[in-house]
Amino acid sequence: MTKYILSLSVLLFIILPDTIGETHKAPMEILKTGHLRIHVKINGKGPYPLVFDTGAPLNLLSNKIGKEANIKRKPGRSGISLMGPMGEADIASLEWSGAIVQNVPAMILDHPTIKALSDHLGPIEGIVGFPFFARFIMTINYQKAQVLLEANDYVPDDLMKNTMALMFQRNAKPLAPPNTPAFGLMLSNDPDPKYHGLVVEDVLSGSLAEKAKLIKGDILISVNQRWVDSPSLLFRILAEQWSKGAVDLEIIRQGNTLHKKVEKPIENTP
Amino acid sequence: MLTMVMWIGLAGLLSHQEKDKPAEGFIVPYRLSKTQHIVVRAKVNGSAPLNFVIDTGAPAFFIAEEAAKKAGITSDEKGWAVIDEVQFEGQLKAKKVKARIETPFQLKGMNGMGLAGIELHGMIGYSILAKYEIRLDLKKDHMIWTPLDWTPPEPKGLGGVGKKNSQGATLELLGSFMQGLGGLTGGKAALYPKVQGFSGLALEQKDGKVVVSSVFVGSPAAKAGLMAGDEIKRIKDEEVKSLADAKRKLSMIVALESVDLSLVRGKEALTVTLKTAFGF
Repeated sequence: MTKYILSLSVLLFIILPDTIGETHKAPMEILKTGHLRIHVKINGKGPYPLVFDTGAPLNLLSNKIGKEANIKRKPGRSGISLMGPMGEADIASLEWSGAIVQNVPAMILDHPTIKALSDHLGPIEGIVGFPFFARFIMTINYQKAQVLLEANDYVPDDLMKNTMALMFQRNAKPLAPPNTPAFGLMLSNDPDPKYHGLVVEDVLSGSLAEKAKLIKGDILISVNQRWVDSPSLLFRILAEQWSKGAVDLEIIRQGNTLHKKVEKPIENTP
Repeated sequence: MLTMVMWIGLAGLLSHQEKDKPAEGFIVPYRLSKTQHIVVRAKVNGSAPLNFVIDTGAPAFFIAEEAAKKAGITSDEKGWAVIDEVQFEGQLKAKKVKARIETPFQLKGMNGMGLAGIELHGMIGYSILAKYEIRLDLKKDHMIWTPLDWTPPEPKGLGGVGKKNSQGATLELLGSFMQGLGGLTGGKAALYPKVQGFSGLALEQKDGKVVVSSVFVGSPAAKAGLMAGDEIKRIKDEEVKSLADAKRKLSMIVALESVDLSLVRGKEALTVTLKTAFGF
């Protein structure tokens, strides 16, 4: 018991100083088009008016900001595009109302969209996207015109590397089942057209699936409320959810919804 | 003045609909695409699950034309439709949701290249997002959406009001980088990874041989005629060198694939055809 209390207090000691009191209230302006304008300091300069865009995988800043904030472009990753000079850079510091991210990647470019938006809606000098907001626990509230930001320790992947990896994985190994030994459930490869779940084609006798009272014709809809309408999705979601413990299977049987709690098969079970 | 009355009326209606909301909000699972988009799944009017990007840079709820067509959704002459029910993965359902039926070009670009690792069917923008307080932490596999008690003002497009594509125009430009990225990498990624086939047999190494230790009753291996004690000599016409090698070869067989296995049973050599299933 003492051991647990001790380890808990050690844990608190480690975690507390970094997180407590670190929630930043960041205001945003809802533009008439529904876009969000925010004011961001770049390398201590500004603040500059930028669009906050959760659909943007990149940060984008104008050449004007690049110059004023003395942003160093990466050698070999810069040049002249159809839209004028452009380049990739790591921004030393990007700050939105006290929420700061250091060494955050951005494209430096005068984009015609930003120009069009700016002409219509007043000054906009770029976009803040994923590489910034991924670093925070973020609560967006349009009614309050405010975003709460609390630093997390998430490390975003490099978009370029991600994309390249995807292109080269075409000959990858087929996705392995999430469990050994077998659970004993055999399913349709295509989802049921009405319920969009996978149909149980066979339950092996003596298997865990049989013990869970699954039967032929059942339609498997979701695992822990995540829809499983393709084989790869089922394997991926089962692996993720079984890692947290027993899962809830949602099943349609003769038009009725049933739920089954199912443990991950462990070695030494038949 | 009249507008004011209408607003109040609408707000009253909305709060009535959402009376049974849980205090802590709704769990909305999401997946991060390879392109670093926050993607949620939703059924529109009971359709198959569709993939939507959570996009504060989009003014509306966009559904790609092809996906809308498959879901039986038709738009008015201005490109809008009202969806009776949007059922999000998790617990959240939204009724009578206005949607723009249009395929923004960056979506076409990403899907054409398979860049996101999944097919994208649209984006969820301002008109839906503004109705909820949305909590997102990339360290968790779900967001929390809590309905807000207000009616957000209608967004206004940049171009001529009511003209088709007028709202999409702004969005189109904001995401234009994706196409450039597609051009750089070339080729198309596989959207739906294949899964290993299920055969239902266990193997062991015995006296330097790879031997079937057990066969699941009713499994594809049993249906193929495999029996405990069979020695496996070849899989797909390739020699089996070790237990690890046999397991590796089996792991490359995809669901519903048929493969020939060369066996030795007692003193007899035989070949069986194993058709794997999709199972686990």
